[in-house]
Amino acid sequence: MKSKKIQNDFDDMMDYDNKNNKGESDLNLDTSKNIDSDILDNKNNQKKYTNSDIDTEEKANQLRSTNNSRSSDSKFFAIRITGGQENIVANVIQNKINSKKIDLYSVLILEHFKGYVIVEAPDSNIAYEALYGIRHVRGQIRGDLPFSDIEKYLVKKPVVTELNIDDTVEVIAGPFKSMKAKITRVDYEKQEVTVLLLDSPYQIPVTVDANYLKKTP
Amino acid sequence: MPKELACKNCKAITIGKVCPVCHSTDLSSDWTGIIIVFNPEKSQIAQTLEIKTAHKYALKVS
Ligand SMILES: [Zn+2]
Repeated sequence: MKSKKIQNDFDDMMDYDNKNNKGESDLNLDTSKNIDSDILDNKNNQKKYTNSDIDTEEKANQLRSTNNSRSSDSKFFAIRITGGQENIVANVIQNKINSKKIDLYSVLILEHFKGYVIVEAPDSNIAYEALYGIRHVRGQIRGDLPFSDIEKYLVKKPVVTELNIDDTVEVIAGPFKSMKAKITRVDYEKQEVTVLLLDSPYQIPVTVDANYLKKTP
Repeated sequence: MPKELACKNCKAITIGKVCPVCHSTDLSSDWTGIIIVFNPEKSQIAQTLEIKTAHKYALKVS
């Protein structure tokens, strides 16, 4: 099984080489939808411009400007690694970046992407440099991921999901700030929570924004 | 490998007893996801997560 996988990667690479020799791809065409054209494992790929390449670059620039809602120049590359080695690979990359001057912006390991490491870099060459020669890294860099694919995993889980009836909480914002309270109702949809203020002589229920509350042990 | 703990306050991962980023001692062994930030000014992920200090962080700490 394993060797078959590697063979497939190798075939992909060869496939890429063939394309590259025809001058059809440029690894900096980050907005290209053609994943194969973004494969990085090729050092022959260093800028031999022909007229058609320049055309492609112009196209890429246009794509870039229409696609440029993001302010940073970050690109995100997912690379397959041996499953279960995510933390180790991340640490090895960290040591490498700290000892060499590689302009990598970040390394991301997502629970939802088992067997992958995502690197954030200004371009694929830097991502390649950061990963080159690292054990457990399998396969090669393919096209970059849009930030929106990653962003959803970064969004902090709303506080409300952790709140339940009868929980004791502290109010951390709003007019009742720093009061202790007990939850009597949770509206998960609206992210609103009704609480009884424990410090108040009259335990009147008040409804507050879930994000104003912090669970107390 | 020494046990890595994540700061409940800023999510920084450490093998020490004190968070090297915010100096909290409220650390947890129950964390998932990793983001290692090398360049907080340029990293879009760091900006999204409001991470200002280059370091290794957990994405989720409980
Ligand atoms: Zn901290």
